[in-house]
Amino acid sequence: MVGNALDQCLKCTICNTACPVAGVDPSFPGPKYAGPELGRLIRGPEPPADNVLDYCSNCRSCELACPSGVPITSLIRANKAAAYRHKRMPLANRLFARVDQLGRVAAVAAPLSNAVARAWWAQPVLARLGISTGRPLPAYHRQTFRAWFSRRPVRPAPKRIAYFVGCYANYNDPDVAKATVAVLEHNGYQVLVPEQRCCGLPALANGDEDQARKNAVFNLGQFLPLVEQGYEIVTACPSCALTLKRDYPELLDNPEAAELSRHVWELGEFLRRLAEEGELQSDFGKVPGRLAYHLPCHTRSQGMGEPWTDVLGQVPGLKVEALDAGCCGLSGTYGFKAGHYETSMAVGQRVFEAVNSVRPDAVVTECGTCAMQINHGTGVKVVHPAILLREAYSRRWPRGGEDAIRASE
Amino acid sequence: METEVLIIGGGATGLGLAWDLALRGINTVLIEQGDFGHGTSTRFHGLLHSGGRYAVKDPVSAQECIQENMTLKRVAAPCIEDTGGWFVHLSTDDPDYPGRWVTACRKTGIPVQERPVQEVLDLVPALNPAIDQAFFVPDAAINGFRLLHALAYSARQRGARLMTYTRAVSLVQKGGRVVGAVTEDQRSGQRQEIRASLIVNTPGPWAAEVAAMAGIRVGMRLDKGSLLIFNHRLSGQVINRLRSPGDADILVPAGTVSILGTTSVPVESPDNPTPSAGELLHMLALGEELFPHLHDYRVIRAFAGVRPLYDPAEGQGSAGREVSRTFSLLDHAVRDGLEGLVSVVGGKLTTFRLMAEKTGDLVVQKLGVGASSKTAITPLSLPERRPVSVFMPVRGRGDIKSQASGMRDVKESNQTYRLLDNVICECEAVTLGDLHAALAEAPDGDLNDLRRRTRLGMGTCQGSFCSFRSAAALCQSGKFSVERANVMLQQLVQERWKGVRPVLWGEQLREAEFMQAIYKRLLNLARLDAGGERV
Repeated sequence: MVGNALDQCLKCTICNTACPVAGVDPSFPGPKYAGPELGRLIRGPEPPADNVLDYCSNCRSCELACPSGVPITSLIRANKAAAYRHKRMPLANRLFARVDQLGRVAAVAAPLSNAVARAWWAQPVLARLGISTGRPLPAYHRQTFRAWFSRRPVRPAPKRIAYFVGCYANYNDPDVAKATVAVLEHNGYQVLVPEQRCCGLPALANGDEDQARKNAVFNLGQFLPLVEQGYEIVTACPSCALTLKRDYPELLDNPEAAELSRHVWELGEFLRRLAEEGELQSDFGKVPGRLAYHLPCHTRSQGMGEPWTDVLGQVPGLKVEALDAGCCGLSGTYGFKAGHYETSMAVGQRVFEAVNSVRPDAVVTECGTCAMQINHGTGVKVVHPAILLREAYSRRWPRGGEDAIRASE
Repeated sequence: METEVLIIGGGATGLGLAWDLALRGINTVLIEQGDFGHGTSTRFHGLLHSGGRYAVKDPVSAQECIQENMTLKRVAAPCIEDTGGWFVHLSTDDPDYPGRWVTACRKTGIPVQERPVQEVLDLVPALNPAIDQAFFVPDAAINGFRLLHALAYSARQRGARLMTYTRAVSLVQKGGRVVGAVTEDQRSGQRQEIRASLIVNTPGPWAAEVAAMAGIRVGMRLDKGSLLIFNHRLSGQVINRLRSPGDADILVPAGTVSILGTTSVPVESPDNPTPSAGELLHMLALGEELFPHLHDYRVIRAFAGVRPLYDPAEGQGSAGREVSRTFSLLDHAVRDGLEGLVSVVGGKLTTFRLMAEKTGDLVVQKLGVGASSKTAITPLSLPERRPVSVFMPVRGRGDIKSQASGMRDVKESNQTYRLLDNVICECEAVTLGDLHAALAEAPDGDLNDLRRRTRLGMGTCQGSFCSFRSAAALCQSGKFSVERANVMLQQLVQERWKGVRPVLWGEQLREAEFMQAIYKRLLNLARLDAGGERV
């Protein structure tokens, strides 16, 4: 893949103008250099010894801007992986490459782990690990979503979905996952949650290709047989969706990964298709409110428009205004790393200002880390659209249904 | 001007001789009609031969190659990337050749190791998996531009006087011997006579022309070889096709690019060799036998060089690849009864040092000086690169961020300064500091001279961006007037275009359109104020 990708760049530089990081930090020479240019130089006899690769937040904005279709972010990640074959990977990168292992440990110890992460004496330790102390770390729940789901009775239904939960919904915000299940079940789907690991995106973004490939192989082994049985794969996390759709075929380079990618849906994308086919349950109750919608970079780069804007538009009473202010700056694990906090907040400034000028009741976005960043930058409450949909459905459901949903929580 | 030895021709042979004589303490002047390496010395693969290519047919050349290969890896190390190379055999090629080749290599002293085919396939995934034998040899990549500049720099350090853009217009004879040459500065048109005890004729393909100035016939066979430059390194090692030497069977990693070649076409004139479309398509087709997906890779440029083959039989003997690649030293006193003139013809870049040493031996013998060659034991040196010091104070705590952006923070007496050493050419990572260092070596240089010293504009975009950037930066630094910068800009763009034109397909065609949009439509290049000069 990389070979031909190196040849497509015309050097037009439009990617640099689209890069949120280069826009706020002039010491980053931009995606053109970090991707296609460095790709040629590191193969040469005098590879540059600079550390520009860590500037990339993996938001993929550059790829959307590129008129030549250069997979710039993929090239940057390949360069990063190549660099870490020769030098030691920073501790923070290694930690963040394994967010699900982190999650498992932190969840067992929650709420103590959350208190520790907030404690004053822990801050220097975090800093030593290369983790930014500028923002709160995501809190962990003692009962993960998957632990909760496994104790729940199976609800048979004719149509079937394999749900890819993702680390954030599983460990940090199980309610999003519960809402996803409720919405899918309300639309007549039986939800299956197979054994699964982190999608691998944090590992890829942190330069640990081997770890990412391991995760991809595991998840492929779990989900592909279900696809063959007619399941579609749905995830409520745009980054997981992007990774399964786009990175698995690149990373594994086999027909199985390509086949899997054709059956992966981001939840909003899936529901929008149901709506287009007239199959989306439209028994929404009224949810009055003025919301501002933030489009995550990883939804944008799936090239599918704004599915959630379309779906939420069907909920009576809900007024959704688009923020249209670009990248929030957190970009997965990026903004949690020491040295990236200021950059991350500077990138997010446009989003924060937009939120402050709209003054909505809440911000809605389908990305868990965007939600944390916007809440941190503005103090405004941020909700996942699945939670809004569950709310809308629950207001119309017959009493029994409403009880059922309450019992499920 | 007077000197002991005047060398005509500043390619590898001439500069090698200047270096050799400078080390022997002999007063030397060298003239070159263009920039160093204007002729053949920069128009090749960039391959430092192990000799393997010549082992079967031309064992003398092969032996010279392997000896020089080992010597140059010692004395010209900064100009060489010791990549190693492979000879790979395609199952469809002559099955008996590898056996004969290995025997010939053993005889000529070329170390050859047969290795598992899978090893080379793992290293070079672009290779045809249908190869059935692979041999590792000590081939290497040599940077021709850098080699010439190291020779020039080292020779100058030892007192040699080297003049570029200076052409010999006639040879002066007196009393049956050559005593000097009239030269012309190609830029100012100024002429002067250089008197010398001995003139050495080393202009490669122009050797016959120079000899003719003394009324002497030197039989040359000029043979054009064309080459294709690919955008990135398709291989980290040299790849040779193991068969009787033919077209398009060598790929060399040259810096950030790879070069595929060559062809062998007889030509009449040594001037401006250009690759033909037919040659390039022929090479791509042959190259695909070695690299099946070659058409998918981006070709950024094509160029051609002229091999100065010596042909004593004057056309009666064999042709092209059949002519020996070893060199000949012609003492015209012995050969033609004319004292004061020596010609060096034939040979190849890999053996330039040996040619220079043997010529040097003849020179000291003729001059009656007793000094032996030291080039085999004296390492070449290159000028040190100094960054441009454009300082600006930085508020707060400085931080070393990135080399690529050209910003480095330097602490000096309680104040942090940001050292700006901006990248001018992104494709080849050439900074403003590199340009200034090159300018110190070639004070009258134009942008093409700086390009040859820095690789400016030699990468993917072929100068689309760095041409105007470098012209502007040098103009801004006060080195050039606006008019001169404009002329240089036109020259550089024109020169880049020359090599792109033969390969206008795929991505490079889009790049060329983009480049035209920048220079013709946006900058109106043809009408820039050139102060009356025409390009």
